Amino acid sequence: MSKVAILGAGLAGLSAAYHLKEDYEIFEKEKKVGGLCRSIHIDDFIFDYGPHILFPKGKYVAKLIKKLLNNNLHIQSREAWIYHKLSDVYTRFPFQSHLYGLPISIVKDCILGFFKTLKKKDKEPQNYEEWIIWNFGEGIAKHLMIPYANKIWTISPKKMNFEWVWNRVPRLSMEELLEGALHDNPRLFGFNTEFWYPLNGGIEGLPFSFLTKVKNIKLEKEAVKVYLNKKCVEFSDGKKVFYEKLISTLPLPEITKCIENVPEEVRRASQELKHNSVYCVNLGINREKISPYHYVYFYEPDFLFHRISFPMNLSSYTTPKGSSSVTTEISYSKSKKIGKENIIERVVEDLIKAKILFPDDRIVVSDAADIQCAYVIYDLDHRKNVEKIHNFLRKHHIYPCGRFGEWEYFNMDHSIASGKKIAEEINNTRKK
Amino acid sequence: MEPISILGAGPTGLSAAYHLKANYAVWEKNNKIGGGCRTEKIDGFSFDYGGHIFYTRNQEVRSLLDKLLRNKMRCLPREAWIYSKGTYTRYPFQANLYGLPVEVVKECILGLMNAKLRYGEKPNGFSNFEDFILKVFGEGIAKHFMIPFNLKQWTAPLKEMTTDWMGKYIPLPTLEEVLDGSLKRAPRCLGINANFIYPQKGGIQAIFNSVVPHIKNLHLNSEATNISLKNKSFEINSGKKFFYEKLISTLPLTELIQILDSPPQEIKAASKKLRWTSLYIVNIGVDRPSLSKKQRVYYPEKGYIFHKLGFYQNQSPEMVPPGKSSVSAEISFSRTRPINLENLAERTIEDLIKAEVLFPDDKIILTHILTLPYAYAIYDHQRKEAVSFISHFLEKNDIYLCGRYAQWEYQNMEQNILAGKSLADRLNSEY
Repeated sequence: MSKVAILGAGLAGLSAAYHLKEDYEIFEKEKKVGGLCRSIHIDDFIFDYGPHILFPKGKYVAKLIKKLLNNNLHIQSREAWIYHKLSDVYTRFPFQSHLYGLPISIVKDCILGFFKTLKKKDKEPQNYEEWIIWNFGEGIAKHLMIPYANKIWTISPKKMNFEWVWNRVPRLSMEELLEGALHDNPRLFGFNTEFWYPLNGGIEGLPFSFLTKVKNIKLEKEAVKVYLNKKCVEFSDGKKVFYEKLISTLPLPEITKCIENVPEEVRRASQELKHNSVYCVNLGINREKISPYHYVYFYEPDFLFHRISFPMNLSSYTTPKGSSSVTTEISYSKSKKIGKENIIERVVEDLIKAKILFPDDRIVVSDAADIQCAYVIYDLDHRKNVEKIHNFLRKHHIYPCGRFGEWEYFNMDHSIASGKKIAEEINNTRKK
Repeated sequence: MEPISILGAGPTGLSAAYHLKANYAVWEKNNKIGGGCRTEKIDGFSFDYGGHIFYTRNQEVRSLLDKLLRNKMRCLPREAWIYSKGTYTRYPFQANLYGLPVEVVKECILGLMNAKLRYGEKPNGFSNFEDFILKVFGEGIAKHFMIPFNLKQWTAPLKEMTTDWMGKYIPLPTLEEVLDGSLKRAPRCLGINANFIYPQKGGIQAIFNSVVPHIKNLHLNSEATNISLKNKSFEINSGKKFFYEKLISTLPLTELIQILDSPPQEIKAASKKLRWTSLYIVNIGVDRPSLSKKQRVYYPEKGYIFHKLGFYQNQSPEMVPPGKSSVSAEISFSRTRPINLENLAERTIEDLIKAEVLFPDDKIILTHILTLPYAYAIYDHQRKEAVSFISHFLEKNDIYLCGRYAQWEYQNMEQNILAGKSLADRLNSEY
């Protein structure tokens, strides 16, 4: 018996294993490690589950990723743009610092709205929509941020908090706003202006790079039951494993479902957790360089997707010579249902509408992946519910870990850091 | 003998005469009427005494002009520009920032925003002109245009000036219009005074020539040299003496005081306090058509001796001989900022070349300098009290001050006409 059982071999689980000083075993339900950081290979194309690019902020994790990827690391400047169908222009991302190129009336709206935010305000923002208006003003809110929020989060930003925002939605000064409104300002703005990506193998090159450093990985082992009293996990194959401590990187609602006799309030909290899902439609096209960008945002309701990305520009090794690849993300949830039927055809139609594809382009590969649990949604009860579940799990020696265990908006580096944090916590309790 | 005498046959004196019902006589020292609105014709070129274009929104003035000058005026879109940072932008500066370096535009907008945040949409209680500029326009617009340009035009430190003369002349900027003008180039002059009228022929003087047939007892070459308050009489340069019941003076106030026969000491002292700006106008005729498409260009930057250029041929083609152009450079000077008249034309031409208005190989066929001893009254902190003190004293002696130079005010042509009319109306009620 290993002392620590880890559920899930995504980045968080692998990182936990990597940092543990105890004996451990990792159980992964899929046929390979990586979780959401797996890649999809179709013919000679490599796609990820949505654009996974690295922009590690913490020194330790950055160093670790460098060490893991070694000479497979490719560093680039981000080319992220926003497409405005209404005026048929692209502007740089983020919107607020690159208004140049938009119709004058919109630019003016945005500046005047921002100016109003500089005046004395009486009420602190209470939700994400108010936070947007508070920080950026009504113009920017109306012309981009609110429509985009509605699209990606599938619920109204009025029903969301803003603790997740951190510097994902970069705030700026009036001066910076003007700088980007008065001319095409190529100065990159925001927190992920430079990103890392594996040169070879797609993003799963990163989880794969743990494989030589982590042992005891059991694939195709899906946990179905957790017995708290016996400290035992049962898998879909009927086999059981006992643990002293359990690290779970499963989505909180799933791990709670595995546990019998969960207290009513924990069960309810777990049912109240919100997340969105993403259809990830991947296409390979028999034409070179269909776009110079890494990704493009679509906030208008005219398009099914809220973002598209080009794996071929993340690394040319993901795409056969003479062809292009595009990944589109379509957000949906219980509050915003989107049918899966003909999803590929509908995406192609919208890509033609966006002038990314030409009507006569030949689609050489296509695939629609359904990411059930994609982003945690920070509704107004998020923190309260998460704490309730975490307290319960931890009382029973279950350590929630990673994007879906901690139930936070984590990027890859955060997931690695989360695995490290939990491992160290366990290492430390052992010392005592 | 006419009961009312008018000194000066400029726009104000002529308007007063035109509107008076009692008998009057007009005395003008020059050999023609027009005063500050005269036009000089030299070798086929016509030059006004400074850039004069006429706008009016006053119905009375409008119909008077229609009556006097039917079909002899043209209505033109204004082409007023500013040259700074090596580029042309439209006037007014703050509403047309597009085209200036981004850093400058940014400074101007930020400055205006800060001013609005600090002083509100409608600031008031300005301690001086500079304070007004900073509070109304903010630091950027102040730095890049308002302060340098006004310093050049007024010659006096702006802190020494009040804001009494403004309001009507300088439109208060809204953030919205400044943004509009920052994000795109306006295709034409916007706002009030977007169009103006100008005589088809004869320069600005033609407007006032048209009144002459309606004026009685007009005496040219007749300079008043001495006024006796006690006897209510004045002498003219021929030595002849005339009596008046009422005397309307449009002469520069300081000059009027000088010809008063022993005025009280306090009046002399008050007059000494008055400050004003004078103007050299360097007129240049060039052997090339269409030097510019603009009518006037403002130069806020120190590197140019002039603060304003006028291209009169763009107000009326009759102002230049066929195939030629002219440019008139205005250079302010005053007691506190004298300008050496020596080589002034050469220095002006040098700066015109620097400003790329003239080419180094342009053939200059005429240079001519006009001097306007009185161009602008300076609204310093002593002006109001001094003028009102003098004016009060004079009215008690039946001398009425009227017009830009007599009232020591920043009046335009429309206001001159109205000032003459309003005084005439007032006196009409007494006869």
